[in-house]
Amino acid sequence: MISFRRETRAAWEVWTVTGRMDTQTADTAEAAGMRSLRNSSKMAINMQELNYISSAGLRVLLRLAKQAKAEGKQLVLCGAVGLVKEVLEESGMDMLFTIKEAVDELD
Amino acid sequence: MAENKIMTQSDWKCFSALPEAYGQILNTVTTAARQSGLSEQLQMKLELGAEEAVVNIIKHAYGTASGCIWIRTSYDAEKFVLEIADSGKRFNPLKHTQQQGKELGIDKRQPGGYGVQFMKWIFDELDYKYDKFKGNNANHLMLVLKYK
Repeated sequence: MISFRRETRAAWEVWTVTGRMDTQTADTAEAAGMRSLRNSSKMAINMQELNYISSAGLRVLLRLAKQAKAEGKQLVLCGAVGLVKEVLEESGMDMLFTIKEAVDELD
Repeated sequence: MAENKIMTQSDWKCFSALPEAYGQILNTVTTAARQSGLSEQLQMKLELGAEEAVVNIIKHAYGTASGCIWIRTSYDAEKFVLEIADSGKRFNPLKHTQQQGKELGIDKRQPGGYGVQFMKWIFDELDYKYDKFKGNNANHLMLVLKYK
């Protein structure tokens, strides 16, 4: 239902999330995301392979954003498409985060 | 066309109002959505709206007691209808929107409150009533998604 992978890209910790961020996977996602955030001062969540997100998934993003802010870290979202992109826009999350079309745009 | 008026309707099905049943409930809804011929894009949206509605009921309806979440799906050539009923605590989710301003910064954003907002975004018609259902008073939510 959900899987993660981590890679380093220049100064960025890129956390790729595949599958669904929903009520059933939110706790797993939050724990994995927090681990990834601890590893770097610049974290990018790559959503290219994420095909579904609900309010439970948004809560994870919001908690990560609050944590990143508290620790003075940078957090950006990359590659959201389709329904995931629409949900980010509808919730106004796109105004909270720096959004990149793809991980290639990370500087 | 006359045949377009025909509505295919499932029977009411009872699922236990527990987080573990959520997968089964969504599966029932998405199976009906596929049969209805809803586009893949709208199927995903329906799934999102159904998740938000069902999660809300699992959280609020019965507290620690057990009970049913009743689900019925119907569709015709123009719309898909999802009905959800429970005989738990009287609760109208449509009145509990705490829509968060899109301009709010990270510190002011609350982690909750998006569920009902998404339901209102996704469904074209939302109706709540509290009435008799299978011999008990029940919350009855009717959510309509038009094919557009």
